[in-house]
Amino acid sequence: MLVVDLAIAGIGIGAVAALAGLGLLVTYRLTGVFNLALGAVAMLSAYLLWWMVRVEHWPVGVAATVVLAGVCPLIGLMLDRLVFRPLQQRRASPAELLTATVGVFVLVVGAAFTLWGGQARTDAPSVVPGSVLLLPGDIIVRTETIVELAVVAVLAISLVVVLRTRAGLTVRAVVERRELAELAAINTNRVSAIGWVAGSMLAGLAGILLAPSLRLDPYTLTLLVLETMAVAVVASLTRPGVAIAAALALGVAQSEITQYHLEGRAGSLLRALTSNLFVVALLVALLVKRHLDQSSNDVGTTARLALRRELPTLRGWWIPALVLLAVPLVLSPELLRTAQTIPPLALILVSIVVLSGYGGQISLGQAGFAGLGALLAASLAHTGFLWLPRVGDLVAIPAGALLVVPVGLLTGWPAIRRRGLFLALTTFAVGAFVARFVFAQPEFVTGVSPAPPAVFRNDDSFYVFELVCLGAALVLVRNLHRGRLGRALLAMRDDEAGARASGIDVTRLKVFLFAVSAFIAALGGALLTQSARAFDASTFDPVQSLLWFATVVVFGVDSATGAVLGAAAIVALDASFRPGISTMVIGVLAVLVGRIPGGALYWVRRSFANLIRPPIGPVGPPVRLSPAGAMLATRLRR
Amino acid sequence: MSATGQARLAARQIVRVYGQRTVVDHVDLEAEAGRITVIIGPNGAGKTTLFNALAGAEIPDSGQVLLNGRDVTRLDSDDLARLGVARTFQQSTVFSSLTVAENLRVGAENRARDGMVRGLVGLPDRTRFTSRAKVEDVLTELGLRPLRDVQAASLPTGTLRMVELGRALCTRPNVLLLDEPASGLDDAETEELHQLLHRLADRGLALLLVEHDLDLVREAADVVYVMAAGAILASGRPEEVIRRADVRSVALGIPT
Repeated sequence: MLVVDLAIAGIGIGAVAALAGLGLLVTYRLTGVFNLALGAVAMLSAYLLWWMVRVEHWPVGVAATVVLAGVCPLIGLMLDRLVFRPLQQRRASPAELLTATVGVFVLVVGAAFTLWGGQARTDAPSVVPGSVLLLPGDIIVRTETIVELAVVAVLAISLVVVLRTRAGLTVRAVVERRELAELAAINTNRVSAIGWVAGSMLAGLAGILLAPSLRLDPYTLTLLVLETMAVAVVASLTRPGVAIAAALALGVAQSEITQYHLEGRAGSLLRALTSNLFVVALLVALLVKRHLDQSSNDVGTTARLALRRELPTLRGWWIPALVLLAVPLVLSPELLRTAQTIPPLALILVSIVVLSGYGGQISLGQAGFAGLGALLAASLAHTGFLWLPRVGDLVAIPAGALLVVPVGLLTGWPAIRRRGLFLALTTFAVGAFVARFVFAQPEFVTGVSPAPPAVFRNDDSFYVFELVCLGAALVLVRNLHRGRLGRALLAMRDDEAGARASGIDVTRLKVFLFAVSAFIAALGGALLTQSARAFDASTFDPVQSLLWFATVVVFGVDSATGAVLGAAAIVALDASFRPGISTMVIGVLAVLVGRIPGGALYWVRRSFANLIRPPIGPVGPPVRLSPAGAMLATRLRR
Repeated sequence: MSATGQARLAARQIVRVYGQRTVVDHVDLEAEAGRITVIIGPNGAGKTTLFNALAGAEIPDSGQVLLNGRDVTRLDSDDLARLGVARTFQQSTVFSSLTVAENLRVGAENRARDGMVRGLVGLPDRTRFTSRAKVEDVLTELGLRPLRDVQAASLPTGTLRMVELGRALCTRPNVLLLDEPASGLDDAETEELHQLLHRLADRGLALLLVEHDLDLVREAADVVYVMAAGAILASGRPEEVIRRADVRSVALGIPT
């Protein structure tokens, strides 16, 4: 009974995805935040359990209770109090909230890396005894599967019950219109806190249940968020019942595929499907489903994160910048090798600035473009690609990048209809899809041996070549920020309806921007692998896209200079400290970015400007609060 | 040209349905060159929906929008803008990170669609001289010159309305759609707006307004359409329409 056995195995996966999906939905419905960091919370919980049981030798039951009933709710409360409540109280835009979740994600991944290292552990403790049950008809069911199913069933029933009570009404009121619910004397803060705590606990539960059947490393479990997203998006972010059904169906379907075998490319595609059906479902749902974002009023995109333009433009800043970038040429060979990763990384970050900073389109999938650029450039230089002939290694770099442009166009196409959250999810899904179906597939990546073009074999000359590429890209990018094109992009970012009413063909402009961004990212990806002399799939992991996006936001989302500095900072931190520290630093800063609007570079420049020329104070006496006013102020603050 | 000869923008049997509710119900309407046409009606009458359909921001479920007799029903608002139909919004859509002059410039320079690749490689825009001149003209006409280089984010609502109107004028429209242009303006500003609207009409523009303010309707309108519950109840010369007691009670909620 292979079919039944496979179905039962699939139900286990489906049930865990359902748990995590419910966590995502609960948090989203109760707080209005789409918590990308959910997978990171799951990963952290699994790691904590592993550490308590395997390192500190606690009994599994105690450890699991501490994690689920202690740590997870605490994480939820901290997210609520320290990160999201302050943001929501000043009516942060959806883009700011999403960025904060990316920040939390990056922070947690960085922390796990720093604490436990990047190596995979296979001894994650199981909270359920590993026995099996024999059902009539010789069907073997593992106890885990039964427990997982039972948990999902209990949750589903309690959710239905709660939503029908008065408390449920309160919840729905908050979800519909937060401000109005506040006016009706509903404690929206408490509802949000519940959303965060419940979401974190569900994520932790999913992580702990899933860990034993996966390897435990900072990346793998984190990407549970992909499965989760798939489930949530299929359910249009609203219907828990649909989410559970979709999770179980996808889990079973994914498991059933394993019984088929095909030869050649089709065979490996099928094999890839057996662990990635959720990613396919996510991408298809995002591309096909209409009316996804009718309820979310996502105007403003990244405008609120962007550099405020009141500072005078600096002239000649590029001279010291160029000198600084030339410094590695006189340093030791090892340092030069390290520095060779700065210009390519800068190119990738600049590609995000173009899209998210200038055009207001959040992209969480740049690693996909970069990796494809790397692969295509290497293939074109060595063997040719499909029907395309082998070309010289210098031509291969831009040619490969040009071939990525169609992928950029394809990703940009949903951007015509989608904005904000759902656009970000689409780009993330495209990046994940490419990572799973191309970068993780041996026949695409084995034998790919990127190397600097023959003329630039010498380390010095390759570094200079990289700088020239970066310079050329920066010139193009500067053109995107001035003149008619620059104004059109800012107009689109600030107000899309207004831009259309002014005659700007927003559709074409968006697609154009995605194409340019994909080209620059692909160029960066090609140079990055060439500087490393190897193609490593983990360089272009979907998680990297999130890290890179967070870096760009931290250094100023619409600042190309900031992107170059950010690249230098990441490389410098990675070279000086253990892996994970740079990720953690970026994560902390990204979580705080709501408090330093405009990014770090802008903040530094403004502080300098204020030092040199203190801001002119307003005329007239300063504000003085009367006792009654002071009382009102304290009450308002509460 | 349509049957009336002069009509610039016309609605023919426009229907827009949201779920179960018919928001715009078989509406016929004409905005003619050189005239100020005003739609009045209570909140929820479907005025803005009709407006969006005329401006290409929404596609009606049935019916046609004709621009000089040409069917433009399915065109996007940017296509319409390039064909000479400009509009303003009830809530400001001014680009907050641009200055006042730059906002107007965006309106002035997008009459042609080309320019993306030119801009990317750094070639100057072909229309830069004409659009710069247009911006200066409009800045003067609207009295926005003192605010030329002020970032729009710091401007008050009334001024934002004028900036948005300026941006619309910079697109060199033949038809101008204004959604409650007087809201947020003080008396002096409203008076200036009246004069401006008359000047524009005298230049041959077709103006179509949605307006609450009956005074403005009396003073400025050449033709009035009264809309309630998605349908046009009456149309004609403003003083006659407004004088009718039945129109006043049904459409405007004024007791007879």
